[in-house]
Amino acid sequence: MTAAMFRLMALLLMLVWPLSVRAAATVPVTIAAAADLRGVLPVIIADFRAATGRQVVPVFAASGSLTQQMLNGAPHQLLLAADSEYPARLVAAGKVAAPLRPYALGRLALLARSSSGVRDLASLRAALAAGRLRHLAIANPAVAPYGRAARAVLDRAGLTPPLVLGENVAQAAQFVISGGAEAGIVSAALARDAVKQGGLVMLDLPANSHPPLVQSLVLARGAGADARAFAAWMAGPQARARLAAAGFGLP
Amino acid sequence: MTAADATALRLSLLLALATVAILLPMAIGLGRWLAITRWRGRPLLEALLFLPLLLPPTVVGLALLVGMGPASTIGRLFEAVTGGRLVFSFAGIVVASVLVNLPLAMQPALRAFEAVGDDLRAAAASCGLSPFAAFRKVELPLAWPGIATGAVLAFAHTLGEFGVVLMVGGAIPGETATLSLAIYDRVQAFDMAGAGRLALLLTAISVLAITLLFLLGRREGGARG
Repeated sequence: MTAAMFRLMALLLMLVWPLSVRAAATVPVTIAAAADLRGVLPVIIADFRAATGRQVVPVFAASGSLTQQMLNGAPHQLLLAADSEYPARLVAAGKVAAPLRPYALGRLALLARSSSGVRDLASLRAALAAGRLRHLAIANPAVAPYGRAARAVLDRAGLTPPLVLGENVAQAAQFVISGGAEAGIVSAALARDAVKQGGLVMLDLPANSHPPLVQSLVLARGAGADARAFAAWMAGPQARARLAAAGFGLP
Repeated sequence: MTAADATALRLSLLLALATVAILLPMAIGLGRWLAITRWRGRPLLEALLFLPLLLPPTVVGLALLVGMGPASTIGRLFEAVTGGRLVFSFAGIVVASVLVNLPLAMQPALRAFEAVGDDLRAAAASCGLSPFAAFRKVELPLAWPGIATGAVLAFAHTLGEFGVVLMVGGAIPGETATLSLAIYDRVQAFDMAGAGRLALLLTAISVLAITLLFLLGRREGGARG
C-alpha cells in the first residue's frame, strides 16, 4: 500500500520535471501593453515579426495594473501605457530607463447597443432622463487612463449615469458587447473592433472632450534587443499607419 | 486548439500536478501530527492553516506579491540561489498554489488520521509494531481515502484557480498564463467563441482528471496492503 503510494508520488514528480524544464526553455520576451491596444498591437507585432524575424509577446491589462506588476518585479521588457503618468512613475521608481517616448494619442468613442437608442451625448442624456439607460460602462479610473478620460467626458457634459467599471478598457467594451451595459465610453480603437460584432453603434468623441491621453512607451532596465527593436518599430511609418487606421491620433 | 491554447493547458496541468506532488507529503505529515498532538496551541494553528481559504484571493495574492517580491527576504534568497525571480514566474505560482490549497489537502487527511483513533494505535503498538511500521501498515491505509480526497480537491481547485495566480503570476504566456487566465484573456479580446472552446476544454480535462484520481484513490485504498 505505501509502496503503491510512493510510486504514485514518484509518478507525479516524474511527470512534472520534464514539463517544467520545457516551460523554462520557452519563456518569451514579454511586453506589457495597455488594454486599448488589444486590437491593433497583434497586427503591429505581426508586421514587426515579418520584417525583422523578431518576436515579442504582449500581456494586456490596465496601465495601472501593469505598472504595479512591474514595480513588483514583473519581467516585462517594455511598457506601452495608455498615458504618460504611469511610465513616469516607473522612471521615478528606477525600474525603467528614461526617456518616455510618446507613440500614440488616445481617442475615446461612445459605444452603444443599437437597441438602446443612444447615438450621441444628447441621446445619452435623453436615455438617462427617461430611465432607459441602466448601466454605462467605463474603465476603472483608479487603474485605467481611459477610465479617467471617460469620467472627464461625463463631467464636462454634466452627466451622472449609473456606472459599471471594467478592470480595464477592454473589459468595459466587453460589458457593452455582451449586453450587460446598454452603452459605454471606451477607446475609439476598441469601439471600431466591437461594432464588427454587430448590434452596436459607435460615435467618435472629439479630441477636446477630455484631457489629452499621450500614450507613451518606456523600456525596462536591461531590456533585450527584441524589445529595443520593437520600441523603435513603434515609431516607424508602418506602425504609425496601423495606429492611425485603428483610430489613434499620432504625436 | 491553437499553440497558445496548448501552452496554457500544459501550464495548468503542470501547476496542478506540482501542487499535488508537493502538498501530498505536507498534508500527510501535518495532518498526522495535528491529529495526535496534545499541544495546547493546536486549535490556533489549525485556524491559521485555514486562513488561505477564509481570505479573499486578493488578500492572499497581495501578501504573496509583497512577501515573495524582489525586495523581500524570501524573494532575495530565491534570487541568490536560483538567479530567477519568484513573483511572476512559474515557481512563484506553484508556491502560491501550494499555500492556497494547503487547507483543502490537509483537512481531509487530518480528519482521516483522527478517525484512526488512539485505541488502534495502542493495539498496533501492543502487537509489537514500531511507530513507523504502525504508521505505514495501519494508519496510512486507513487514512488513505481522506488523503486521496484532499489531493483531488487540491488538484481540482488548482485547475480553476484565478485570482491568486493572476496577482502573483501576471498572466505571462508560457510562464504563468494558465487555462483559467487564458479564458479571461479571450473574453477581453472579444473572442467569445475561443473563450467558450477553452472553457469546454477545461471542463472536459477537469472531469477526466478527477475521475482518474478518484479511481486511483479507490484502488489504492482498496488494496489495504
